[in-house]
Amino acid sequence: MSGLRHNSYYDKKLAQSPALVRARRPYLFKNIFTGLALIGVTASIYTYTLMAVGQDDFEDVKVPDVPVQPAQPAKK
Amino acid sequence: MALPADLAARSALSRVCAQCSVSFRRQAGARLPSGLFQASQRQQRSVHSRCPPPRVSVDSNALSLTRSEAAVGSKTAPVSVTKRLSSGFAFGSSAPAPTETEKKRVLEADDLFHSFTNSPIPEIRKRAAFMRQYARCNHADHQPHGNLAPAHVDFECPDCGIPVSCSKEHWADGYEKHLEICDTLRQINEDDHDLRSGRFFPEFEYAGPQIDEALINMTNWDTFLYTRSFSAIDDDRSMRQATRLLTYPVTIASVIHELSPYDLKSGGRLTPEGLKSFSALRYTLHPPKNGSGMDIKGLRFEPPPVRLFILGARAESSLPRDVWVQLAHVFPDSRIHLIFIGPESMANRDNEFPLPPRTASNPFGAIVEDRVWPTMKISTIVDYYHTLHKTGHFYPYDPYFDCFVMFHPGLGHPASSHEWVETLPMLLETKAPIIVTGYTQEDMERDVAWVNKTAHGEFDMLLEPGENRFRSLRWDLNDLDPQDISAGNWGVWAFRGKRYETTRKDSE
Repeated sequence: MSGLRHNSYYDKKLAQSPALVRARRPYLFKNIFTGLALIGVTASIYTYTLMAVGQDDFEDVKVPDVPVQPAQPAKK
Repeated sequence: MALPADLAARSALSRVCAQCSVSFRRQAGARLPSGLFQASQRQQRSVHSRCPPPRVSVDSNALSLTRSEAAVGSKTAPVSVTKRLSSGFAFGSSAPAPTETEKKRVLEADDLFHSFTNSPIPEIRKRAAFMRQYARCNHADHQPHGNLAPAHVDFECPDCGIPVSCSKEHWADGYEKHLEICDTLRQINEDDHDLRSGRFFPEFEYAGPQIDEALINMTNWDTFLYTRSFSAIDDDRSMRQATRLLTYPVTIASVIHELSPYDLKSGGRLTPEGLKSFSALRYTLHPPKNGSGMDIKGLRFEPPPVRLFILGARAESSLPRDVWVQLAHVFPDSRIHLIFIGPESMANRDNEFPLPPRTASNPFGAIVEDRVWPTMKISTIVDYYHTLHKTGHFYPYDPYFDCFVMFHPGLGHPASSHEWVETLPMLLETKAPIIVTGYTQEDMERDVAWVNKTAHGEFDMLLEPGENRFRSLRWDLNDLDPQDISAGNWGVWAFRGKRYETTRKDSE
């Protein structure tokens, strides 16, 4: 309910009104910093995962020289 | 409900600018009715009863009458001045007038700057005439050691439209000093014209009750209004008009609320003693949920209301009640009893005269409004606090339930400090916190210095003096000295009588 009542803080295009911009001002830089930190942690985990997976050359997987023929189904 | 609230706030604000009580008192040398917020109640009530509300636009007549008397120096007769104010008002209101909402818009938003003397608004022209008649030029030549006789202001600065000097030469001479406040004076000029522009004032519609799940953020005005679900006030001018009224309840709330922005951190201004005092109050103001309800099973004992004594009340006692109810919305779980005490606490509430008779059950003739809000009650007592204190009427005082508030008391002002000399020791004796505000830094520091001098070693500072986060953003003009500008509740501080410990820790 409370969120609906705040709609005078947004204009018709859902852009913030000056009052909302002023109210968020004390938290602007801290929020940006937190956002960047979260993105950084996520991106670093993602990157690390890709790097770790990319090192694998699948040497432990035995690849047969001749393709294995699928077993012929027995004729009736 | 929106209509009367709007009307009341508008008429109240129109009084704010018309007359600034500080100025009045400073200059007139007497604590006289300040004339703010006049007729707000009257308007509200008359609208409720479907009568045409009395015209408020003519009251500057009455105001100037009062003020001229003040200037003449009727120092000993504030009561008679009040009476005359009311009679002047009555004369003015005899003419039937349309309600203010029917009045069509006279000034557009981009057409607010006008010279006071040639303003399209009659009240402002009257005000300019008043200033020309009573305000004095403060050029050095007119000072006691100067070589010219004192002169009234006659020259209007073209940039701010307010008469500031006796002649163009003196204005040009002090131009550098005037330049420091010229922008603010122009802002005051535009705000005053805006109030009378006849526009619709959406900023005077206040938010309703607060839901339990939503916390209030008291960092500043913007976060407060947003978290209290006020509708957005985008314009700076609207913010100034709205905060001029809301500053009174919100200043109190910001100090005693558990989410107060003042804390023990460095720069947070609260002292350990302050935390002790305000924690006691917060214990009562924010009780745990006790499961009470409307049925028999929900019956619970209720604690008595928190008593907020507002001493030396002037303008704040005639604020629209919607503004004070904001205090009840901030503390939804406790009951609040506001008690306005002071010889001028009925200023501008002429429609409520005569006062109730002094009977055994109502020994001080208090005007009690107990239907303001289910959890809020307002009493007004026209008397000095020290008189009441001596009778023990409010005894016992409990720091868990009582708090004193003084809005711009002028403790240290030479014209009013003698009236507080007797009151101060009694306030300290109650050991309840005392919250004090000041118009300007100078005003506040003078009060602090006076308390330091008068009650040295007898009190603990609870909140270090400093700028109020919820001060009025609007500046007010002193009609008797146009160079003197102030903001309502500019600064806030708090103190309390010292509580001595029974044993000394360092005595071993």
